[in-house]
Amino acid sequence: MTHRIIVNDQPHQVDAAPDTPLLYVLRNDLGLNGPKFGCGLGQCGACAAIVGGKLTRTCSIALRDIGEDRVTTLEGLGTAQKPHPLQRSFVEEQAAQCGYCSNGMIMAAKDLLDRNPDPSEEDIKDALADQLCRCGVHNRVVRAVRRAAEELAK
Amino acid sequence: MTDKGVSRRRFTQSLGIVVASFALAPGAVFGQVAGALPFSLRNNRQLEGWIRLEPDETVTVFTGKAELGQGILTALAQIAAEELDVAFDKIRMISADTSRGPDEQYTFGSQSVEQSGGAIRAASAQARAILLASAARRFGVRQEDLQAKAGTIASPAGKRATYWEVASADPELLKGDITAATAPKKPSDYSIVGQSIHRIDLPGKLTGAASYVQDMRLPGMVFARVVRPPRYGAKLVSLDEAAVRSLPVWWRSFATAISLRLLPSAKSRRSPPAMRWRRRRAGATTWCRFPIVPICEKS
Repeated sequence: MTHRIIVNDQPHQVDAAPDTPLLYVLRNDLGLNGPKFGCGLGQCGACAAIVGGKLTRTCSIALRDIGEDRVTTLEGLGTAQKPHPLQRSFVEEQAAQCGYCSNGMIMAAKDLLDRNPDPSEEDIKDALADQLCRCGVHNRVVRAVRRAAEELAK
Repeated sequence: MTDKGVSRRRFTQSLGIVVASFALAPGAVFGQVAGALPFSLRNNRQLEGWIRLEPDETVTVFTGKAELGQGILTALAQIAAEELDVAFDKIRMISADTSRGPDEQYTFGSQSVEQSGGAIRAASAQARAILLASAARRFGVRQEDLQAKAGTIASPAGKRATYWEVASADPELLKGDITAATAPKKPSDYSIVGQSIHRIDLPGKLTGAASYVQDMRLPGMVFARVVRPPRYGAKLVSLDEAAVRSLPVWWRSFATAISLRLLPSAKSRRSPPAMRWRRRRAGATTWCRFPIVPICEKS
């Protein structure tokens, strides 16, 4: 079955069953690497993307439920040559160890900064509390989000 | 405990003695003793298997170790840049490609800088010495009178040549084996190693570049998922293959695995299909434990 989906401002036609999780479409049909398969159960946040303006665990939403909603992934924020302020601040703060959770951290931080451009440390911790990181890089992530907020405010 | 038993405390005490004896061994500073061959060089002797000078004036450095977030590619690039005397940003790391670079077996046990770093340090020191010796012949001066800095060799009389110019004049120059006969730099002379610098792998990881095994996409690739028993000790006694076949067309039961009484797997041309497999295979497997009489359940 063919679905029309708009990802990072690009329209795509994908041939997939309606109950295919969005994550599989993003990774396998569209070849994106940003969203990660972590737990597959909506528990870790590694697969996060912004769908219809909302932070979404793409492993746990079916293609049929996307409707007309636009999808923004990590790739849609910026590139290594032209990074988004969040991506730049994560590099500046070296806010990753293995980096597998970084997609979810950055997407959740993007969602936070869109709602609250000047978050306190507590706001950041609250917003990222459900993004799991096993390496223990949390404090650097909090600093990176703060740094990005300050850069975006300039 | 009995007299014959070894208590945990005694066991760990004896480990401590073993560790101490290693730590106190003379000349144990790996790779700094000329002639001592670092571990990873023993089966990977070719210099070109570790270091290549590229036409675009960069240096490709190969390691058999994989970046898992330890930052080793950055650390190994620092070691290469330091010993070669080239700028850090001229180093391009290739990781765990045994078709071109060294086979260093597993990446484990905090051994990557020790083993791969020791090898790259020896290889880089030797490559630098070979390049300097070649430049000395070309300039007609003694090797010890030459200075190398940022990939450029300079003579006291002001003659200059880059490493890449020296190497391109003799394609065989860096094709020999590593002997580790060249002493690497003293740590007190380091200017790149020991600096805290940004990880070279992070910009890619933070922008969605292909960085992980999961990001490899090969033609015709399928994914497999292990189906695990619902509880300890349960063995698979039957699998409803019809139920598996009723799954979408790309599903295949792993007939050999089933016939061998191994865990059945399913292949998919999509990602590891956790949720869907969980939902659709419900009841398709029967598992039993055998305490006295079989206790079975479907899963």
